[in-house]
Amino acid sequence: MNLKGKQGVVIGAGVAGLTAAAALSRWGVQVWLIDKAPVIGGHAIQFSCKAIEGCVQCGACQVHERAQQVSRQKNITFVPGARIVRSRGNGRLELTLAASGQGAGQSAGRFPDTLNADALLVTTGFTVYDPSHKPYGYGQFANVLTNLDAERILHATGALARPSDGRLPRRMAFIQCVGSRDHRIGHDWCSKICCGSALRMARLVQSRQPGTAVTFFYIDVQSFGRQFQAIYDGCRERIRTVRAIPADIRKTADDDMQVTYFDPQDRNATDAVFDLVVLSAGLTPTADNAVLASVLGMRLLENGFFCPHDNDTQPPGMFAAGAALGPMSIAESIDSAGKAAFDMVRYLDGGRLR
Amino acid sequence: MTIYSETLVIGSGPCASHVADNLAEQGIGVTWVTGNVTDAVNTIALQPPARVNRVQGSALVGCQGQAGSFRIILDQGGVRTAHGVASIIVAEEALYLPNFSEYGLQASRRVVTLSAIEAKARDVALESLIPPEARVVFLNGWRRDSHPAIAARMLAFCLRLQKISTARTVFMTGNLKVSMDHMEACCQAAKAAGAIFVKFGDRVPRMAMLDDTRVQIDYHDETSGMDFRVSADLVIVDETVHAHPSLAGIAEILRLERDATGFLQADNVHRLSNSTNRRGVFVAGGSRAVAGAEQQKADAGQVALQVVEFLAGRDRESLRTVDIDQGRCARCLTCYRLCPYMAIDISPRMTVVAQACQSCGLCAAGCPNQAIRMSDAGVPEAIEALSRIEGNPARSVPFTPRLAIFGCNRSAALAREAAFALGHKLSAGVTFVEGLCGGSFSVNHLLKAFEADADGVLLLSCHEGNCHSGTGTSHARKRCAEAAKALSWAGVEPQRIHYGTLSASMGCEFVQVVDDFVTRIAALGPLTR
Repeated sequence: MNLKGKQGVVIGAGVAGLTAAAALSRWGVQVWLIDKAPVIGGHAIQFSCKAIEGCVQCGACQVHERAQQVSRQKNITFVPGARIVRSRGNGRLELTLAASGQGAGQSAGRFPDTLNADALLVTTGFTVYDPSHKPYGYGQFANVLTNLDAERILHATGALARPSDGRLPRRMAFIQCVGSRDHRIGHDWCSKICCGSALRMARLVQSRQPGTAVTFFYIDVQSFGRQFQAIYDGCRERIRTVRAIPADIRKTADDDMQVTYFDPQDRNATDAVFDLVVLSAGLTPTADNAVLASVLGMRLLENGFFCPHDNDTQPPGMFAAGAALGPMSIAESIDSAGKAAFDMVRYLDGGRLR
Repeated sequence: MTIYSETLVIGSGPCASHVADNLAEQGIGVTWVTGNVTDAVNTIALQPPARVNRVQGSALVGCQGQAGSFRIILDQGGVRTAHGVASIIVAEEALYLPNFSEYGLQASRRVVTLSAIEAKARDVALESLIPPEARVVFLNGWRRDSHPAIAARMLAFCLRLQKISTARTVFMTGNLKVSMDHMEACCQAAKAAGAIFVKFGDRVPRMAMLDDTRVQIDYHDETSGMDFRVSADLVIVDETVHAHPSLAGIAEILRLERDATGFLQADNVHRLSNSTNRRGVFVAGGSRAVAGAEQQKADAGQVALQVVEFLAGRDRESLRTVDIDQGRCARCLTCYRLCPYMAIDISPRMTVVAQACQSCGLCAAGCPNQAIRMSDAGVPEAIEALSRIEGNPARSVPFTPRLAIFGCNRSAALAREAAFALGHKLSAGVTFVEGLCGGSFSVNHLLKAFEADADGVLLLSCHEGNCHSGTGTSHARKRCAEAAKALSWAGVEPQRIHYGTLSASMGCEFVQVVDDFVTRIAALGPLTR
């Protein structure tokens, strides 16, 4: 049995989309892999490897390997800089594409106006929370970054220097749960990956830039990886953990950050000065989700993420996987895409794989 | 007589049942081996689907052969039967152990495990289980953090109790694990319904047993800074998640890697999602530490697709053939010991089984007699590439070193591409030789580079714990050290050869490592011959 002649459309070329596209292509499906961005890889391709002496299983390398696998498959066509603006039909969908306005865009021969899809998978991932509205000075103070900003800097330069003057930081702070577990803004979810990501990044920076003091402000530490307890215990020897989320950040004369928090030991409002602050901004639903869901006729959860396609909650032939469903690690996104591939291949074959 | 079926499924819980179900639905013949029902703590009565041969109360006791043609022996109550299977899925449940000792408690009428109370609550109404107005305390992860899936079950039960019974719940934990879906919302709903959440750091609560067998707990609340005492009518103790005891034996029989905690996958991202070190052998659910009913069901779907792909030959495009020249083979068994994928048969002759081979090249690089040849990769191409090293033959000033970089195709080659995509350029005089694995380069290859007039050799391989073949990168490190010794004996500076690790996402670090090496070799000067 093979599914040659069947057309699959995967919306979003991050790690989940790449995994599912590769799986579908192995069954002979002609896959169109669409992304509004001009490049492949979603967020994860911008992440830096966090290995110190050995791998710490962050998963960043997996998106590069999968991107290479996909580029070698003749029956997968990557369509960058595109969005779906209309969807018609039943069973076989007719999708209308338009330029996303994010570069690449319409280039002759590579950007079809319409695509037919026998099955469709949404793997549009997430958006990082914008902490500009928080009293942390993000967007005003050069030395307040989000975790994504810090990843990009590390990935591009191999070091994490202060944006204001290029100096290496001596005292760094990570502030967790920015935009997550936050009921005042209606974000009643945990973004899952930020504790692990921040602690691994802290250890990486300490290893490459010895003598960097790190303070980790948190509510609860969420587990990451199978060897979590050992890694976490090791982290606490080198990182100061403070179980409080700061209320306020002010800039000092030297572009340092004065951070105010309620110290749980002393039970007092306390100030501490850092020369670089990384905000672990949460994973939120992409603003486009509502538009895309409306175009396709798909359902969203109350929190704005896509509804899983189990139990026929999505129209027939429409599936969703990865962080589009909710915050997920790279490993979980790969698993989610694998499961969606199983569901899609069964659907395309009318239920049977053989 | 050998009974043949396409897949052997090992496991006694819901995940294994879903796997058998998924495969049977696809018309695949399944032999489903379950241990004694009493072995698995969380087993519920499972009705096997039709066309599944369920061998109850049995265990795997032997396995020979390779992907596509395993020959296994099952033992059912002392009676042994032989089976031929093309693929194997280990989907045994995890072992859940009650955590009494973490809290200094013992099981009693008033101190119960999560599983026990969940099981009882399936059969009887909560009202009859819990006395009215009872103070119910949940203990979840104190000195050692709880597994998120266990915390999720505790939180869900706490919410249920608080909402639909008159119980007054207290949830006591170190780090509150809310990473599983909807758990933060669950926790907020429980608080809104009246549940009290107590979190603490290093100051762990103290327990005492009262005369009426209630448990008295004294704790320090960090938020208010005050001390409290609660007398619990019922204490619900959490569980810890472990590899099932049968996994050790299964791993030995099937020659599988295990991680540090005993689960049947190396803690290596290359094993995502359900792969083991052996082609044709897969692992799912509690055998690879996946917990949670939804997650296990999803994993059962995922692994079923991968098995069907494997059976249909769709999991890889082509088989690279690896030949062992019997004329040169001395049966030293080096290749057999080196192969991480258990792809070498030793009888009647040393043979690389194509179905099982995953093309790492460790055997070819390690064979002392160079008796192993890989089709379209490996030895001939690497040597060929070396003789094409470019550089500055006139050795003019300033000196531009001629460098050979040996890189594995998963790490260095991809990092190099990432570097180019970021706009970086490599120094002149650098030649990149791509290999299947860091371990596919032999000491001979490394030394041949110097014979081909390289001034320096850099070997870049995956990080420890990130190597697809598991051991390839450490072989690469050892061979560099051996080559360095050989250089010393020949009167050449051993620093001219260097081993480094990196990953596919390290584009700018690749350039930095190469540039650093160029600088160092430039300082040493050209290799004098």
